[in-house]
Amino acid sequence: MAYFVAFLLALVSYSLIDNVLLSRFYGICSFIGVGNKVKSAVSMGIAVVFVIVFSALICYPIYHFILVPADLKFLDTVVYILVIASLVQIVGLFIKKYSPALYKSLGIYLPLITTNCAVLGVVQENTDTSLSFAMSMANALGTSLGYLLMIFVFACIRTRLDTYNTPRAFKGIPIALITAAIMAMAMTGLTGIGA
Amino acid sequence: MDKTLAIVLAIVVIIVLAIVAIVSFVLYRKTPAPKGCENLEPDEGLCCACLKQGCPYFAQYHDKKPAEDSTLASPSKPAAPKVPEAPQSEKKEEKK
Repeated sequence: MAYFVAFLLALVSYSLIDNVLLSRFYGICSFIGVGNKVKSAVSMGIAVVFVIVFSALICYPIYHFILVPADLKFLDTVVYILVIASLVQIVGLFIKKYSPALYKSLGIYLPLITTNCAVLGVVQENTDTSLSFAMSMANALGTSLGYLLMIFVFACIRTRLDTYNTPRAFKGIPIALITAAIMAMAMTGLTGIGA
Repeated sequence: MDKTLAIVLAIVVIIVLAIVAIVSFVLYRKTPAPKGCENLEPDEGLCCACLKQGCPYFAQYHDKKPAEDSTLASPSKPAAPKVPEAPQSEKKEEKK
């Protein structure tokens, strides 16, 4: 039971309190770039959830059962990049084959998940901080769900902002950055939960 | 573990992962796009906001000179305030 509670707390911590976008500042490019339409934002978020969780799932055994015993820890970044690139192509392949609607909304941008530093950041963090397998998965799941939640909320706010009479100097990216800053400040209010 | 064996294993790991990446890339390329998605165009607003320089669409949307981009253009100099003309009665007095 205590283990399950620890897993849940880690999940909440990684998704909300230590949010990947607003606290650790990974994956900001797609956050700003794709976060202007709700549908594309959610699709991108789901694709990122899938890639982060599966890359953490695959990279953990590769690191602990191949790289560490063979004393090849220096190869970790190269290995992770290759795993992430393969995973993204496989996800893209499935989307292309089985979900034309999803492919239409983010088909062009799908290969760019490879360069999303949130994916590499989570996997690297799992091994650098020597997390257990369960905690690695909590980190991957929490981080990716936090990404999905924040990109969705951000897209909703930006959609509403488009209808408002924003001053010309703030239109577009400036108001988006201010919104992101206010969201980040709001998230810091959750610090201390579970302490 | 023997150093030579470790190096061989490292090369094998890299080669295997590279082969998987290449095969998945080729399969992705070979899979036909669904109907209606053959000629997808990138969204201009989205690509203009993105700063990923490795993206194949980056050059297409970031080649414009800064002056052409209305949002980044330097604000034009404010027009000089108009000096109000002196009333005609004053002009007449000056003539006298």
